[in-house]
Parts: sequence; structure tokens; C-alpha cells
Amino acid sequence: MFERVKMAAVEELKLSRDVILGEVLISFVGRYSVTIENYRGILIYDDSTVKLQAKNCKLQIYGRRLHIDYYNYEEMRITGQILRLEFGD
Amino acid sequence: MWQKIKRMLGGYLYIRLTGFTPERFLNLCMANQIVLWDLVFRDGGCQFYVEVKDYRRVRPLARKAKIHLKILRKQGLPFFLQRNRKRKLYGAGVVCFFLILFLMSQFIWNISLEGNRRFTDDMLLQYLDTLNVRYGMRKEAVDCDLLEESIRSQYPEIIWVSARISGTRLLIRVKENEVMGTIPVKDESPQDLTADRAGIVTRMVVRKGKAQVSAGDEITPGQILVSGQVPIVNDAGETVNVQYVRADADIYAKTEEVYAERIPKLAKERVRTGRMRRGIRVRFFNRSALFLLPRTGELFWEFTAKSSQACLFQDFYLPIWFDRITAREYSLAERPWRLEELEILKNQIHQQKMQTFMKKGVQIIENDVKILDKQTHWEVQGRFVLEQPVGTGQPPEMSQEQKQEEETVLPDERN
Repeated sequence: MFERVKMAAVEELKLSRDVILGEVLISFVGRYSVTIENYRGILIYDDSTVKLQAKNCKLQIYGRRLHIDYYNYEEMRITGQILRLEFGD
Repeated sequence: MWQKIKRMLGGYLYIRLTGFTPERFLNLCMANQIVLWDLVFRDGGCQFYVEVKDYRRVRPLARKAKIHLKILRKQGLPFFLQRNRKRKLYGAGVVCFFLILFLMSQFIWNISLEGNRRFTDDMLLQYLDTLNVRYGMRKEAVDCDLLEESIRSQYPEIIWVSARISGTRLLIRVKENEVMGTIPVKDESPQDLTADRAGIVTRMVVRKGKAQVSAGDEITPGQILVSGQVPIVNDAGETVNVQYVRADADIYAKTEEVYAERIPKLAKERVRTGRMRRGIRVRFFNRSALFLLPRTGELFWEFTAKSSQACLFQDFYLPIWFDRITAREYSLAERPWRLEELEILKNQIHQQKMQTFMKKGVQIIENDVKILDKQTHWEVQGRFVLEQPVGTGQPPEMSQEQKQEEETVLPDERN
């Protein structure tokens, strides 16, 4: 109920969804670098897959020679040859 | 950048992580705000960097996540010092380097002058030398305000001076007065205008004095053109007195100028053999060391050098100069001039003469040039017909009585 009200308020007031709802924010720079904000944790990490837990979903990045430049509580930057990104529940 | 320096100073480790749940370990690190960077998955394990201070906090987390950590590399200043703790001279050398650098930075090693046109760098540097401002002096001893004042008072034509020290460089900027400082005092003493060269008067405008020639007259050097003696006549036409004035006129005369220039029969030419030597000369204070291969053969060498002062940063000059020397071997050869070369040479000489006249504002009416073979040499002979101003001031001839009269009259006139 509260979530619905919150979403409606965000829609009406045109507020930023990532700030208010904690939605995951993904920024690509070409196909070799991606910055992910508002994630909760790392589920899987190897050189071809990075699976992350966000607040409302899971996201999976596939690629080659994936490399975590840095990560902290707020954001993570992954570099390497990114092939695709998938969302899951 | 600062983060890199901080990590370098504090030291950091490159670690290999193996185990079944590396993700759990990564999440635990994130929750405990432990920074890991450059994570790479390699050979079934994860490798990453961590700061030394965080490594102590990481170990309990590794036990909790049931993974194994192995240090692959230790980097940063603490480990570097530990590795080189026995190399005392090496350390002393590094300390000495920074000490010398610090000491050098306490002195002036470069004086830059900007904005000066009338006063050359050498003139200003010589004056600075008299103020004991010179290369190699302590920076603290330079009083920029006093220096600015001194330069302004020494050179009234300099209207603005700015002196500042930047690094080991003393930068002096000046601005010179571009308009005339004083109005020249007008000379009112009596004078005649006499011809300084022979010619024919083409036109003349007399402002003061009595004209002695007119347009079309031929004049000879020394001839009075405008007399400063103006006779005062009575009604009967008799001269009752003579007034002495400063003759002033614009007199133009058509004159002829000839010149002859000798050119040797054979042209001397430096023929480069193609052999070259390169070297460097290092100058440190009054000492210098030359690194150049010794000369070989009997021929001549011409040397050119490009000098540059050692500079660490933009304004951090050091008292070390490098001269990059290039030596080229050549032989002297003599050969007769080619006709086309003589033609070019002749024209060059004539053009130079023509330029000199044009700079003086002289009008060239006719000009011709020829080159003659004089057996022992070549001779360029040129002729110009010019229209140019003539007439130079000469004191008029006065009798003793007139002179005395002039001397006694002048003070009264002033009163």
C-alpha cells in the first residue's frame, strides 16, 4: 500500500525514481564500462558473469574479461567487453 | 590522484582469494566499508588490491566466509623502505638530492626581462648588478619594491616596473614611455644655410633669412644658400644696420651620387664535407665540461651551439646550462664567380644603396649600375640622380664690432 502511494507520488511530482524508490541506476560508457548504483550485493562474480542484487530485481551482466574496477556501498564500476545485461526477479 | 598517493604512502597488498564463496566475502567487505579495488577473476580465483590497514580487518571476514587469502605482492612506501633498509648510501643519496634541490631553490638562477625595447637586457642587467641583484643571490635578499623604485628613478623613460620572484626566477616587467619625454630647446642662435653637396636647386621655400640662390641655380659645397644676415635699409636704399637671424628654409637640389665597390676575382666558398660531430657542454657556475669527440683530419670545422638552462618546472631554474654543440667539417675553396652570381651580387649591392637613400626620404630620379672587369678584381659602379634636401647650418661671419654688439644686446633683449 505504502509502496503504491510512494510510486504515485513520484509519478505525480516527477521525482527521481532512483533517489526515492531506490531503483538501480545503470550508466554505460560505450560497451567497455558500466557503472551500477543502488545495488545491494554481489551474487555471482567471475570473468564472464557478474550477478547483482538490486532492491527490486536482480541484474546479470555477461561479457568477457570482466573486471571490477572498484565497488563500495553505493556504486560499482565494471570494465571489460560487455555482451549483454539481463534483469531477473 | 591523491587517493593513489595516499595508498602509495600507506602501502597496499595484492591478494589472491580462493574458496567456494568469494561473493559472500566481497559483500562482507562492502558491509564493513573495506575498500577493495581492481578485482580480476583469474585461474579460478579472485585477485584484488587492499590497503594494509584494511588487511587486518579483512582476515576475520575471510575466516567467516571460509575462503583463503594469499598475499601475492606488497607495494607502497613502507615495503619499499623495508626492502631497502640496508642500502644506507642509496637513502643518503635520495636525501641529499632533495636537500640540494631545496638549497638551490633558495637562490635566484634566472633573471627575465620583459617589455624593454630602448634599454637592452645587458644595460638593465648591468644596472641590476650595481644594485647587487645578480644570478646566484639569495631570494630573501631581493627587495622587489626597492628594485622597482630604483629602476624607475634610474631610467625616467621607464614609466612602470613590476618585479616578482617565481620559483628561482626573478621576473622584471617594464613599460617604457613611448612619447617624447621633454620638448627639445629650440636653438635661436644666428646661422647661415650652406650647401653640403654640389647640385642644381630644384625648389626652395625660405622661412627666415635672405635667399642667396634661386631654383635652377647650380650650387657648390660650402656655398651660402640662405644668409642669416638680413640688412635693414632706409628709404634711400642704404644699409643702416644688419640683423642676424637663424636662417630657415627647405631647399631641394638635384644631385648626383656615384659609388664603386670592389669584388674579389675569386669567390671563397666553404665546402662542407658532410662529416659532423655532436657534443654537449655542461656549465655549472664558472666551471664547464665538454663532451665532444676529438677532431680528426686537417680541415676546418665550424661550430654552432644551442644553449639552454636546466629547468625542473616552469619557473624552477637551476644553475646548470647545457650547450648542444654541432661541429661540421668544411674546406675552403676558391673559384671564379659565375656570371649569374655576379649579376645577383651587383643587384644586391645596388639595392642596398637604394634602400639607404629611401630610408633617408630621398627621391631617386635616375639610377643605373654596371659591373666592370678590372683584371685584378670586379668593380660595381653605380650612379644615382637624386632630389634631396640640402643646406646645413653654419654660424654667420660677423665683424668684431658686430659680435660685441650681439653679446651686449642679447642680455638686454632677455630683460
